[in-house]
Amino acid sequence: MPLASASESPHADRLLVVIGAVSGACVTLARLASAGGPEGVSWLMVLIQATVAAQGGAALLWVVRAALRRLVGRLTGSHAVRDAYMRDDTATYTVLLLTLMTAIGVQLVAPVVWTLLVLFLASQLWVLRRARATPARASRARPLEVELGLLFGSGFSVMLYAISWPRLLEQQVGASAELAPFAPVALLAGLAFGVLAGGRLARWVPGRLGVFFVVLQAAAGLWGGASIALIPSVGASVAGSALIGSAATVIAVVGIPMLVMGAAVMVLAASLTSPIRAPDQWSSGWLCGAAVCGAAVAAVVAVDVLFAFTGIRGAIIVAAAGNLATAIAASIVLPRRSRAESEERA
Amino acid sequence: MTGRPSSSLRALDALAVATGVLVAGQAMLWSRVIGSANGNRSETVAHAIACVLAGLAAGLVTGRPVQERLAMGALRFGALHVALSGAVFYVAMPAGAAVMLHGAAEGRATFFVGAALAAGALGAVIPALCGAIAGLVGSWATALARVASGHLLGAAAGSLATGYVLLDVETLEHTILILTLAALGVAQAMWLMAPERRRRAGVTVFALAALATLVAHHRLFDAFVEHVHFGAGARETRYRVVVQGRAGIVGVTPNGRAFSDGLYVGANTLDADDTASSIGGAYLVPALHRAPRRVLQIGLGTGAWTRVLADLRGVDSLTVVEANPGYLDALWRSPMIARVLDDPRVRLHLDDPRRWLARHPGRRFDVIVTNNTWHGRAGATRALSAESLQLLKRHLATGGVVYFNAAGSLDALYTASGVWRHVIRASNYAAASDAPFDQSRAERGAAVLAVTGPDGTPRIGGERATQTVNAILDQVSGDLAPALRRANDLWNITDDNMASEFKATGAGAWWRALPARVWRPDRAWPTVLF
Repeated sequence: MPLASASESPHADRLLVVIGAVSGACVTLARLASAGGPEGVSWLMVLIQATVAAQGGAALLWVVRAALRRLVGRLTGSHAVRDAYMRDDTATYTVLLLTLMTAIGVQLVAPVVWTLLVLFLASQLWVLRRARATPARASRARPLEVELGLLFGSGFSVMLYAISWPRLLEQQVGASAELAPFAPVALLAGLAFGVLAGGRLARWVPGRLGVFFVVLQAAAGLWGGASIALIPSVGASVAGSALIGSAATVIAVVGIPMLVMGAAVMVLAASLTSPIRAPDQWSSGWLCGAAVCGAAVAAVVAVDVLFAFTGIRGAIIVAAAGNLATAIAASIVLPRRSRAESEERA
Repeated sequence: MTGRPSSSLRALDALAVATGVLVAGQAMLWSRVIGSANGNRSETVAHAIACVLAGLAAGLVTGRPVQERLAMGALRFGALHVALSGAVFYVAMPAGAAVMLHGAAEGRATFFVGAALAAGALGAVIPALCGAIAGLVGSWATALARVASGHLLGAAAGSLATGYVLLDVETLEHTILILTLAALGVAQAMWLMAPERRRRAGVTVFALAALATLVAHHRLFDAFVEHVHFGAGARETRYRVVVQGRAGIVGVTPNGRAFSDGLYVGANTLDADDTASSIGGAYLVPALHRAPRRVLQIGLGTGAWTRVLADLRGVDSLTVVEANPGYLDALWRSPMIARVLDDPRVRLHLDDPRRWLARHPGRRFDVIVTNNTWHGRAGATRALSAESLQLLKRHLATGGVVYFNAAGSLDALYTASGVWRHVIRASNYAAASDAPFDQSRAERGAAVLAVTGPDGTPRIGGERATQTVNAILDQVSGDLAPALRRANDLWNITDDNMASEFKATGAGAWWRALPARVWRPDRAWPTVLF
């Protein structure tokens, strides 16, 4: 594995040096500015430190790039992948130019540093993935990314509702320990029966599953939007009733839309695992995993971001928007995919 | 799987249901434990659920490749992973509690990792079951629908069985044991159903593991609840009485301090000089209203406040609404206070307070007392929001007073100032009314001294009586409502924004402060250095 590739891509190498120099200088200048201002540091020291940091930054990036290239070569064991990676990897370091934002006052506090690192890692992974996508692999099986994204979005919305709706209901029907377990039970049971119904639907009309997914997602989104007004009014009407009445309301209000969402998820999953589409044996895990992963992310986003900034109704609106966005994305992507598949089969 | 496909199919369906029961049961217990370990912060339960789901997703994705790498049959693979999940669940609980003794954050991290790992092991079983069912029915879509719906139905049943039944009839520690033994039982069943050899060996191993769990349980879970509730403080603090139920865990220490899921709720004392107990706040009630005849107390707590309120001069009826029946069991342990429930003027209702108020729209009270715990805990909004205070206001008689524990939250005072004309503060408590608090200090002092027990002896008496009364009255502020209404940096807590739970504390506060931390134009280096 060659350390340097200057003769092959001199522009890339120059770009790397510039990025390293700029980011190194920016980091040092920002550190000096945050440390207490110019009164403690002379102009000469600022100049010296910035120059040394610029040089050091360039050198550091050079070493990091060489190390990463060596690592990729070792891990993949393929010259083709390594060469493809080396063609594009320098571009990923441009993320570090975001350190220029320190010039307008962005502070290099931990969240900012972590964001830069995550962006850099994500772009590295993207380049690596592109490098690994050989023509043979690309034609072997239909990539599932889009569908996994749709399932992730569905799971995300489901969990946002699952966290927000019980809170909205509690405002009306109370939050006693007797009533509290009914919301998760209604939610899970609704999803379960929805999945069963979706499975049946997939057997009856295997050719139109994409349409059903779009319709069910859109219906879930509309219900979600309407629930902001619906749940308080229904809850208020049973607020004074006995426990059984309140429990029935919780089950109906939470369970029925979950049934729709469960059916939507299953319909999409079924469309990917039907025999005509050459199912990958691992895909069932990925399909469920994508939806569950979306739910996990939503649980954190709901309490750490949405509730902090928007409140319950805002979180529900985001969930409904997620449903509708998923439906729109599916209505655009799935027909194209089907056409491409038909042509491929033909 | 051998022989009849239909019975095999039903058995596999049952296993999908069983894994769902285990996942949901474990998730419920992780939520309860991690919530208690973090002061019942609002976001903690969602974080625990997120960890469980993340682990589950990882298991779902990696299950099939791992199974193929191990070259195991679906049932054998499932059996091992269910047993592994049970083992991780069982060991991580006391391990996290032990780590809590050294550091609360590290202890919670142990719980989070344990939750993810245990769920991950169960998640890995699902693709294996899917594969086995697909082999029988010949369709991946059908197999996926069967397994997913079975798993979700199991999860619904598991959350109901754990949250509604087990936690009510058994202790938290025993519920953990039951779920672990259930996991080992499911693992045994899967192992037995598998067509591979060495059935007896596997069953023996699982049986021995169950036996070891049973034998080690008492030692592993000694003072588990105290470790989770108090962390390093558990070395000095042990509960004398622990009452567990589906509504939570109420513990009372030897010195009479009561805690609900680790949060202090009050003390079994009527001594107004006991400043650590906050009982002094109860003696202030007669100083806020000249003739409190009908009193509503929301939250029974230890019953000490109920005793003092029943002892107020001129009280005709005292209605108490409590959501957690566990307090009643704790209350009986203190005979001095328990007798208050025998008082014919005292009526106790076990219900959610807002629900009870909605169901009794016609009831009016002169004084409503709510003694909440920390304003950042989960569900605090239901007591402190503007809607909740409006509901209380609708149940006040003319000139009535609401006296509530704002738990030091200025947002709660600000919210009250939007509902009532007058708001005063006494230590952590706030009193609000549309009538002015115009009692003189002497009038207030006399009213406080007039609190007498059933035998006619004053509750505050002896040589220190004047000092005690002065100490109580010194905490009372003037009318804060006009100043509060001018404030522009406080939150009006509503049911929707849940400001006390998600904006003023915890993650919400961190996010809101982030922009100011990240972008500071005054520290831009061209401005500072050049």
